[in-house]
Amino acid sequence: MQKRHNVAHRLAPLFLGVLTGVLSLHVYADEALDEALLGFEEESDISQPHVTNLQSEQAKRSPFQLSGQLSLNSYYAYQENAPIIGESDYRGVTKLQLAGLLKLDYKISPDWQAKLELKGFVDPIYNIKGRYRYSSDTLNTYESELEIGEGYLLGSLSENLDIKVGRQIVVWGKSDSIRVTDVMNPLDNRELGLVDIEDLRLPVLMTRLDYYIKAWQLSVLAQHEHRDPKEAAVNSEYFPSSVLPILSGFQFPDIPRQSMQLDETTFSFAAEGRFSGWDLSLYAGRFQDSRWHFTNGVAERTYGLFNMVGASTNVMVDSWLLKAEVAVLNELKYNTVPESKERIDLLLGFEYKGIRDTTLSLELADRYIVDYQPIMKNLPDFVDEHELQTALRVLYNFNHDRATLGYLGQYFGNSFEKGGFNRVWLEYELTQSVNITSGIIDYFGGENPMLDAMKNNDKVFVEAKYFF
Amino acid sequence: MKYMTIAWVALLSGSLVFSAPILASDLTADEIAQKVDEREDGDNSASQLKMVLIDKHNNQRVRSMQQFEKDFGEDTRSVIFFLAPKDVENTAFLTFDYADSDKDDDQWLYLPALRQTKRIVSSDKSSSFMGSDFSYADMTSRSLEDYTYKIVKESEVRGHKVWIMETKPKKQKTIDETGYSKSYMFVRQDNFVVVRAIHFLTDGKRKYMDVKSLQQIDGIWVATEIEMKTKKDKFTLHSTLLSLSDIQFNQDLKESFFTVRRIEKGL
Repeated sequence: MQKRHNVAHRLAPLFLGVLTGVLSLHVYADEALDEALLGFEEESDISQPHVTNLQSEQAKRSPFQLSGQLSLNSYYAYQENAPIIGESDYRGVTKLQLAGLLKLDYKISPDWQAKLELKGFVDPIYNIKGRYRYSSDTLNTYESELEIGEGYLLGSLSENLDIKVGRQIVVWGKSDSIRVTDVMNPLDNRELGLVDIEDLRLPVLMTRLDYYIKAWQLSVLAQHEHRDPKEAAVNSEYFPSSVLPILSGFQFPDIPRQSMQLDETTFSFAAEGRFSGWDLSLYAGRFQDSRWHFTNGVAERTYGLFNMVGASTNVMVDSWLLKAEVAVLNELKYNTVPESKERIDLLLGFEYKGIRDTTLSLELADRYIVDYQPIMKNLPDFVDEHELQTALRVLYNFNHDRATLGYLGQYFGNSFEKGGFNRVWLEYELTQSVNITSGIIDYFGGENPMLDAMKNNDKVFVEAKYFF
Repeated sequence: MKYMTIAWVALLSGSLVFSAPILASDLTADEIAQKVDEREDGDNSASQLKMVLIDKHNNQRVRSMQQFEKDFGEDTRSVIFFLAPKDVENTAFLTFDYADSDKDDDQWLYLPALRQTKRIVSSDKSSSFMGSDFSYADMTSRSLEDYTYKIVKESEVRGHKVWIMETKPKKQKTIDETGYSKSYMFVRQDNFVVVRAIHFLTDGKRKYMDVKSLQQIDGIWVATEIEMKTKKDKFTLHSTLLSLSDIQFNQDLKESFFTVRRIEKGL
């Protein structure tokens, strides 16, 4: 081909008349190439950056790594009504939180490492607006916090066996927005739809053994701590308990503050296989429920234990990642019926990556209560035989990943009639160390009295994060 | 059958020097492509990567990574650990890059902030890698048989004779996956290294790849500094300078290194 190309060039003048058409195409192609080549020859309008020696950077890495982040989070509620006299005021600026996270990683040896996190926040908005306006539960829940996050020792006992001991987070399942088999860690439920996904799961004390054989990871987990979720304060904007059918003068029991509850070790098992084009995970165990129920009459709120067997899978088909999860749960406690119930949860969903720099995911879950009784429709349970939940998430990266535009919608009910929320946000990398996120969350009400009572919690939120 | 991966995977690798000079007229475009494909690119490699992302206002952002790679027959497995910036530190990316172009690569991403490893759909290779001007297509190998080749010109780059080869995807699927409708590859005639490339994107933009520094390490040609510019008409919209250091071949990397277990445990 190269030879023919050169010959054509040499003989072109001789056959000018005959080959005009062919040669004009050829010349056009050359011109197109020459024009394209100018892209290399133009003087760069960008100065060349100095590139430091990575080898020396790597050599600087110490076995101790201290890192962390500082953040400022603020909310502005633009839909709240003026409070009834004596009630808390949730209008205007409702959050001005300064939060910090400190992480210490220690590489003990090539096979062993340890990690410890310390995290906390303080929110002066309650002082600014007047602490007397808020209940002690609200102040305890939202004004300040200091706690140990993850803290564990991880190492290899043999070539195929790892152990991890300490407070840790274990994520099960394939879904991003709806929990079906991801039941290991309790959640931070204090602000529906607003808790940073990185802070959503609360670490618990457990011992984990992982054995690796070919494409499989077999895990045994001993959960020593049953930690309660972090719930919204009673009668606050995210737990409008006044909608519940309670007697006048009834003192709604608080959830006790977080404490380590080492009363009973429960065990769970997982087998996770990763194959070409698909993944499969199987789970079984005994876990703490994420929903409270009244005990001792209505004097206490308690989180029960339940059993679960489940499975999740991912299948990749072209630009689609298909997801499915199923879980069978029993010994679930409800308030409206004395006996425990069995529930079957099913999730189907997909993630689509066929649009450049865009991720679109949709998940639908159905929670089916076996032997459902109509009385369960009453508050405070307010559940149907089939509880449907839908989550739509769209992420678009642009400006060379400097910015991400995101949307998350969570809808409850067959036709979203029970309520939900829409959240839109923009995350921008201001500098190498500072990210700014701003957005809006719009709650919409419906048949669910709790969600309906939260429909005016709409907010504009801003967060600035500094990483070090 | 692998073909000229123009980002680090292949340019980092390069080829052994051929002992005898090769006459340009002896080779067809397909044969040159074959030679590029057959270049010795080393195995069991480790390297450090640094990407400087530069916008049109000359604002710079830096991404640092550590990469490991090993051949498994015709297939390649790689692990990339992200070192900087801080908000992505310890994020890790595992790729099983299959030689069979009909088979999608397997990719998993470990996100330490979420404590979760996610499978990544690999068919869209046109998206930017870490915000750089390199796409995922630039990072992974492409099949020789997916393209047509034509020598359009001979020229010189930094004093070395090159063939300028036009490559076009045979199928729309390849165009959709890579985002490139056509490319010009500048293949050095003495060592079959692609030292420059022009990629024509389907949205009208062009990407200019230029190997600024080429070195021989353990007898293998390695591009240690590569610039990729994204242009619209004559204007540079964004550029990335990728540099490699601490490049080592023939490391004792076991199969167990290229697993989700490893990316979750970190470096």
